[in-house]
Amino acid sequence: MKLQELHILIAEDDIDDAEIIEASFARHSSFTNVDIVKNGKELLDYLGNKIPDVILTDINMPILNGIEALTAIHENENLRNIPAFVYSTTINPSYEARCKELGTKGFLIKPFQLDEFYEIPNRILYILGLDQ
Amino acid sequence: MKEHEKNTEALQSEIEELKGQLFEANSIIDAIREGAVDALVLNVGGKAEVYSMESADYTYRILIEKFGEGALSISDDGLILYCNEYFANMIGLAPTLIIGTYFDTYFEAPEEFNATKDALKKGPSKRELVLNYGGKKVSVYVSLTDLNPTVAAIGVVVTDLTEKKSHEEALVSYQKELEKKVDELHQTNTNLEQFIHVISHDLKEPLRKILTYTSHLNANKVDAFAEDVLKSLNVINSSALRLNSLVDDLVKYAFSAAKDEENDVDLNKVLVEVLDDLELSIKENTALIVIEKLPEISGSKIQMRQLFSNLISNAIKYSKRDVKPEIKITAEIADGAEIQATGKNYYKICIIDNGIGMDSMHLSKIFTIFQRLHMRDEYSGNGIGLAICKKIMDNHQGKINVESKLENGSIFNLYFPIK
Repeated sequence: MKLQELHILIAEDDIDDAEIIEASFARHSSFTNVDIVKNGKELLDYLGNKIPDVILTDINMPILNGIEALTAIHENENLRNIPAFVYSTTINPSYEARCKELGTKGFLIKPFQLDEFYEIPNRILYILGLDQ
Repeated sequence: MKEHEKNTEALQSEIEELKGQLFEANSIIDAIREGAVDALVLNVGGKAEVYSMESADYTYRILIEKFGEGALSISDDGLILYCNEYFANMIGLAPTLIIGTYFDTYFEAPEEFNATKDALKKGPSKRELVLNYGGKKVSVYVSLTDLNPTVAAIGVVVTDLTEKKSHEEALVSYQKELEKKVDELHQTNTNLEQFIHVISHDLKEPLRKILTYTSHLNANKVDAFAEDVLKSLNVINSSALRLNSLVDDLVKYAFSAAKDEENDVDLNKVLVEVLDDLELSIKENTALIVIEKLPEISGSKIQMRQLFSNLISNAIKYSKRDVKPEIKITAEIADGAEIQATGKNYYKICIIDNGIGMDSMHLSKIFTIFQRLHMRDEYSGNGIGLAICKKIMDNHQGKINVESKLENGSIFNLYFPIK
């Protein structure tokens, strides 16, 4: 994985949050390709065609939620090695435990401050060990 | 002459035979007179007929007759020689119709009765069996005693198990009902937890957005706003923050109401963890905390942490402005009479502080949710902490109360039942 040209796929159903999180990655120099889908189903459909470097998904989404999507990804040998991150407004301990079982790299809380949103790409790079 | 002799011989042998018969008849009469015979079984036209007689021993006869269990005597091959009224009522026939019939014909499974009878060779034999006469089934306990050689008969006691069986059945059905209720309760609990998660998430989502966007406005558009607009923004921001902390506290309160798994919890260890969590606040306020040796209780560790964390942070928060907070935690065994539970023993744990105390008129309401005794700008908080403590003590079949005087510190008493 090259530090400079990362491709991230984000699943987020909330239009406002999608706008902010997309902007957070778009303004970051390490991510050159930022794609947004609206739910777990679209996430899986996307992965049928293209493989991103990183996945970031919300949990509470319609049709197929984040946990369901991560479960399907985990069951697919071609997809399970893509580093996946979860972010949500609240931490539900049972969801967090389930995410760990599914090999999720990180569980992030959606921030209250705009500045903290802009820090999310750095947090992800840090967890992946790509921050020099 | 020879003919004559022959006649004499025949007559004499006839006399001998008649003598023998007379002796037999006399001994039977003697036996009857002595009460050694209860009944006679005669073979009349190839069919057994039983003739019973009044026994000499009237008291025993009456006892058996009026006995509150079925009582019978049967011959070794199972013919009923006698039965009392109680047994006759169980079958629904007159005793005279029962006597002279075979006992095994009254059982649902005659072979089971016969096996029980055969077991008599090894001593008294007992078994649970089912009577079935004309489709009327009765569960009974049959107890057999071999009366040989004193009397050539078997004594039988038949105990009606109908009532016992119906009690057993009732117990089983209560048990099932109870299990069903427990399952329902578990389900309700799970649903409630899910509900709390959903509520907290869905309430916080719009709140978070309000905060994100007001912080964005505050940070980037300061120059563009007039002072009163900025002030309004700040009010929106602080209100949203407060609502957010309320949602957090409500979730905590709702979870404290949920029953957690019960384990042995060493309160000494719990306190070490709690003091660790509160380290910063203890240092900032230079609080002195003295803890005696505490007992082990049975309960939820998570809830114990929450309980002591709330009480100690309260004690630090409501300290006097110019006096260092001193908190002492003691433990003793107390009689339940202190909390109107006479006859039970409790671990009584006291959290004693030297803080601002409370007016006695407020003491009764401090454990109610959302009750606050201070203005928000004096002491922060949502008025949930002590309500959570009370819920936790309720969960542990315990009790919490408070002794306090304004300006004179407070003592919070916790009572845990000793199991």
